[in-house]
Amino acid sequence: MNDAWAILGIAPTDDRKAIRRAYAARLKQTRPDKDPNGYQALREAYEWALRIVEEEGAREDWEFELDANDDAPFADTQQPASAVQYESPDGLSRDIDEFVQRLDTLLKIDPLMGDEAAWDALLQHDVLISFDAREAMAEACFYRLADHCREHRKVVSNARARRIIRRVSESFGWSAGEWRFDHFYEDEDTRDLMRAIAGPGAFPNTVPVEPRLTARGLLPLFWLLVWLVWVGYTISGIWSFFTDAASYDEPRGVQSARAALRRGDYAEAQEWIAYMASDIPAQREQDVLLLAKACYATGDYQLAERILDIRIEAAPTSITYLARATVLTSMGEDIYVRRDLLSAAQTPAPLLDSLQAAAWFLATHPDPQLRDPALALRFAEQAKETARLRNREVEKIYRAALAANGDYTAALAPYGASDARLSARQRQVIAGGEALYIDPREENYLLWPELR
Amino acid sequence: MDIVGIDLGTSNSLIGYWDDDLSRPQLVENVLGSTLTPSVVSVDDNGEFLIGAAALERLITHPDRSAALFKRQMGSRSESRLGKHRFRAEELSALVIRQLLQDFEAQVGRRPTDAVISVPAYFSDGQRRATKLAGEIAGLQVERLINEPTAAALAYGVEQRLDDAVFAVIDLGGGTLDVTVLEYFSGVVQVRASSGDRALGGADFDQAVLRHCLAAWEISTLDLVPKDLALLSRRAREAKCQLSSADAATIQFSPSTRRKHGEYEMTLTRAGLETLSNALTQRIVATIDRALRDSSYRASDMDEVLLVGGATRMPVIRNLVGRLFRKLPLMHVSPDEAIALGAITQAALKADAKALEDVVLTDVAPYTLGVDVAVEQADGQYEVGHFLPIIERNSPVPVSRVETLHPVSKKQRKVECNVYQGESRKVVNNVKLGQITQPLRREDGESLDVRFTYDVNGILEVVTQPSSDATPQRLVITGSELELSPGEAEKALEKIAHLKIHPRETTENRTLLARAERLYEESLGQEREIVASLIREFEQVLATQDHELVAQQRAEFEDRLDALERDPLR
Repeated sequence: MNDAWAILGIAPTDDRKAIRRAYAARLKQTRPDKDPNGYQALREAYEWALRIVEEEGAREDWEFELDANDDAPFADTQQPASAVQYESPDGLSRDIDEFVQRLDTLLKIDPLMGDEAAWDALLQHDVLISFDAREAMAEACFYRLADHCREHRKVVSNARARRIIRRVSESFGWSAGEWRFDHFYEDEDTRDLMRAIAGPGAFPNTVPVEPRLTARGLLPLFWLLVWLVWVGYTISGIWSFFTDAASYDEPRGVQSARAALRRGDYAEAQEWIAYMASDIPAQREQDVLLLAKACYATGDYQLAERILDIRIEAAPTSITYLARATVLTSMGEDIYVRRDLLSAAQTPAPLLDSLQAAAWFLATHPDPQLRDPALALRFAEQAKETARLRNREVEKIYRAALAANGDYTAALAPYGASDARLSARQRQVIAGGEALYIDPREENYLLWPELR
Repeated sequence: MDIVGIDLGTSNSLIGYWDDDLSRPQLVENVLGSTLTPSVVSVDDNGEFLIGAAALERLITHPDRSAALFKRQMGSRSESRLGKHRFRAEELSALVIRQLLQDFEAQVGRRPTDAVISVPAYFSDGQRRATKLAGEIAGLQVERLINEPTAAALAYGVEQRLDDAVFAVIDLGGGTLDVTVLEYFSGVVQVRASSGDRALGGADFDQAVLRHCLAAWEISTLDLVPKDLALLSRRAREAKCQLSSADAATIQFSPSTRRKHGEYEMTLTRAGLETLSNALTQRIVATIDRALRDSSYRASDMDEVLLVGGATRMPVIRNLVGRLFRKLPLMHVSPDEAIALGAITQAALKADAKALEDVVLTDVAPYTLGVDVAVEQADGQYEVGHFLPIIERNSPVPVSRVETLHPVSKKQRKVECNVYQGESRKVVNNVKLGQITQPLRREDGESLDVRFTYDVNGILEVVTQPSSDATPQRLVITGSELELSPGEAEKALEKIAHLKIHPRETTENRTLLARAERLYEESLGQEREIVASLIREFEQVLATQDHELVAQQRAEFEDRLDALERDPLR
């Protein structure tokens, strides 16, 4: 960057003001909208020159300090710089200590995070108004909550605890999709906290909804997913019978695990599963899926998910994603279900089931933030293409996607024999939907249960 | 002066031009004598379109035939329904711009051809394109998009002739929050960092009040018809505005549905509002925090803090900002106009106005842009879905950066580059902007240069250049399926051109009538009868088509309505 000074048109200097003046003068000849490349070079030269001056200044200060310390043989001048940072006349460091203490106490009292009001009061603490301390406090909260969620997994499934965690995350801006601290932490360690933050529920911009409708929206989704995965297994099972019939034999571990399950001996099944789980990437896909399913059947969702995680890292396929989505649905992790369904539907040759499940989820999920009508429609169309033959299930999902996009006319258009299945009640609901229509993104689903 | 500046706001829109003689921006008043034209569109029973204040009144009386807050839908596929018409946000915005242009023509006597339009700094690529398109549908060449907080700061800086100062601008409008940190020196207005929250604005405070009322009265939103909900939202907003000057405000409400019949009343104090908005103010603090961190300035380094946007009138916000920066924040003289003034100043810069010869504005990219990559792990396996930032957020724009990528496998025939915007290191949490597929020659050591170019309008272009002689690929992000294709844009233009717009000359009468109708619906008993008879009288006067008489009666009609609204008969 020796030519930086040439670009700025001045001799090397350590005078910040001179650099600024030179930059301003050159800038008027190389305006950003008229000479983009020239401007980029000029700006880089300017920033570089300023940085050099700053580093030079820092070095001088440092040398000066060293000299000063040599001259003054007082032990207490040797304090580490970090301790000085928070010392300020208004007792900031005392406030910080107090904040951290209160935080620890709140976490200690009750594994499920305790009282919401107490947390609200904590987040109103004066120390958070000071930007210097805020960063440190945000980090302290992040570490402590991550550890807490990992220790007490119940937190993730507890609605009130999640609400509190979301409040904390909002007030520090973690939810803006920006995980400032997750670089220092392994995914494993922060995963539970992230789940707690991202889980579905009351979002700040939506008017609260009736819980019974929410439940009604979720239940068919769950059964649909279970059904879809079951169909998926059947298909892949039949397929493998024809293609691999000669060479395929189920590993003994899976056989034994399944036999144990049939006997109802969960303990033994678990042992076999653990034994098999040690080398997942090397196993065949069918075996891994069977293993995961066995875990799922024993109710050990965590292990099922773990197995699929490892498998997906090694070989991501549409069906493994779909399987993990099913497991996650049972765990209530809708945001991760969404992620997996998207991946399942976007793999190069997606299964019809993946497309259907993804379209249905994106079109009808009760949480508007998780819905994506446009994408749902695209998947539904793709599913129609993939299915080729008329398929009532596919058509139903396609109609739901149309409705989610506000296209009630097309959603209600006659469709062969299935048209007769559209009851008077459903027409009424849709008509009502049009009459009570407020905002397609926010309110629509309340009036759009399903076309069954 | 042929370039105009337009502030296309969530709640209000403004237009103006640079006055060369006075060397300052000049706003244009609409036919009602106000510089603010509400961004509301409504269609009446005759199929005529009303835009502005009249439509705002009709939002209460005819919610099904009116649309507001459509800026939030900008760049998305969703459509608003107005009677039997359906419109996208771009088309509605185009209608508002057309209205502004008519007012401009009526006052200045020329028809502008080019414009600078302001957008929230946090608008995504697709939303920026949609805004540009809205201008084009209205028949304007959109020369430049300017970020709203930058505009506000520019107007202020130029007005005050600032030198050598560091500034924070906090813009809390109807629907969005933008925070920007700027430097001024030797005529350079330099944006250091900006951050924002796309879903946080004055309307969210109204919502907080509304939810609080509904919870206290034990009413569910499902019990209310849209009309009631719209009315209650309006009451909530009024109460919030009253609390800016008074210590307490009362909300009265009587739903028209049978399920929850009765009179409801709620008194809200200033402290009460503060408690209600705790969650919102914390999000504001987080946003300011991010902007400061990115700018590498401290809160105490700021020479001034400038508040713009209508929602900053709330004492809650002013107190909060005062505590954060330990400084009394400056309120712009007219927080609603600051952005428009800035857009006009930018327009003048664009047109090389004499007075602004030595002012240069530099802005930054509001978010990180990059591609997804697979990362090799210790065991030799590749993990997909990692985000590789190419243009970091708050890089000065225009900017062009290049990054070299290698195919994962030698056998690969092509590389798929997915373009993302966002701050998470895993792409699943970021927003996908588009995709580019580069065929490869499968030569040894073949690599791929990905170049991102982000221009002053905030529009991104991606070019991939393989080291082999395979054809380079180019992608201008178009917001994929969300955006209008050229054919659709053409159609939108046609559609707008053939709409019947209510004639400008009678806008005043229509606005008053719409307001009277709203009053009629809101009032009961004796007051209602008075309003009804006022409407009848005025309609008779209109029927005479005697302009002088109409003008005379109109003034009286307005006075009567003012009086009724000021102190209703109770």
